[in-house]
Amino acid sequence: MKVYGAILSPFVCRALLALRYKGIEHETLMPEGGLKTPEYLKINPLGKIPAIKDGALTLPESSVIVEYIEAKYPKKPIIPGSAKAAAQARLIATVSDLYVQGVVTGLFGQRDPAKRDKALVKEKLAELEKGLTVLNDLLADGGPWAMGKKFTIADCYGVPALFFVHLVVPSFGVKDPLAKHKKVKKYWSALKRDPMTKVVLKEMDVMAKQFFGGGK
Amino acid sequence: MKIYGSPLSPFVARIILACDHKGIDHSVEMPEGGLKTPEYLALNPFGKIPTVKIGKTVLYESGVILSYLDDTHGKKAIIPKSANGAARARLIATISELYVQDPALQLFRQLMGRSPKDPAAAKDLVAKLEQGLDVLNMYISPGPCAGGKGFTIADCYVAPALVFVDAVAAKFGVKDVYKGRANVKKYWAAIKKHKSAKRQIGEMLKLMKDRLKAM
Repeated sequence: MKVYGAILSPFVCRALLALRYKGIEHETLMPEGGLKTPEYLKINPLGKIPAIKDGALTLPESSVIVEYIEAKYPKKPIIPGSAKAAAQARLIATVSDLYVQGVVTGLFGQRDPAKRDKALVKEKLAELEKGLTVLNDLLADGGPWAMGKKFTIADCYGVPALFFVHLVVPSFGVKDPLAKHKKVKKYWSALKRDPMTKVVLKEMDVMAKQFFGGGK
Repeated sequence: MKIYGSPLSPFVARIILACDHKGIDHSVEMPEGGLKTPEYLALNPFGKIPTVKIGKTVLYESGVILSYLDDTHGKKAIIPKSANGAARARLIATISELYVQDPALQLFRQLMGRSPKDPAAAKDLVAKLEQGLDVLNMYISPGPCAGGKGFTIADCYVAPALVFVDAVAAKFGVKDVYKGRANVKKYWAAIKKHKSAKRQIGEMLKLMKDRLKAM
């Protein structure tokens, strides 16, 4: 399988986590000549990353790709077998996407204090607190993964979301963005220790330093 | 099953369409006292719609609810069994959500005065909407359903989104929004008559008409 994109993109990271966890052979590459070449637009008419090529199939959109990987390569499932647990895993993924990562994305352009819209930053930081509070309630009690003992789709979303929380939020004077969210903090520590996610976070960190001169 | 929300919300409409298709008994109501009461926030901490109650199980976020309904009511599945078929249905749904419904809803909010009138932003949104429709046109089937023959999760997303596209396009200067988008145009004509969709989409179109008249 070919994965177009780079691991620093939180969207690409979701797909790469699913592939690495399942042990599916893949090659990661940036589209030659950029995202808007006629060749790449044929693979993804939206001109975004990630997109995958698996045999004759080309597929854009991270959420679609992750579900496809699970359906096509069911070994080492990332979606729990019971309907209730599957719903919980998907809910944690959605909350990480919309109410954590989505909010942090909105803060990204505000890092420079000279160009900062203070009212917007205040609003977004409050939204992020809300998202992290809900995430904290949803995470499994014992860890180490979002759903407990096993890696799931929730972690495919949780890992890049929390990476970006730590990359972006300290720029606004918040030293420890997880201070009030004990379970999330414990989860983040576990992600930094796990042999697979540790490597992923390190790779993201190296790229972040290259691109933004920062990271954690 | 109880669905909290309004039938005109495109997020709520996804769930109603899935229920209508599967024949799941359901009621639709707005939470008493609004979305931010302690009682409702205990069900859905974000205070949004939809939330569903199925016996003791409470779920929120439309995408999560749809997958759950398909897992628990396997008959008349809305997610195709083949990996490729499922991917196509989910892709059409996602394109519709992010690149069609999202700009259409933002334009609708301007139209309703719920967000400030901003002609420059509106111009950008119209351009985004048109681009989204172009991409949707590349993937969608001309009917009877979005993924081809059978009703899927794609229809739960696309049909309600097009109710909003219809409502805003002309108001923002796009005379014939389906021109050059023959697949979307044919699909829209077909899904309004589809047995699983016609009741809910008919109700949305009527509610939308009343809403626009009351402006």
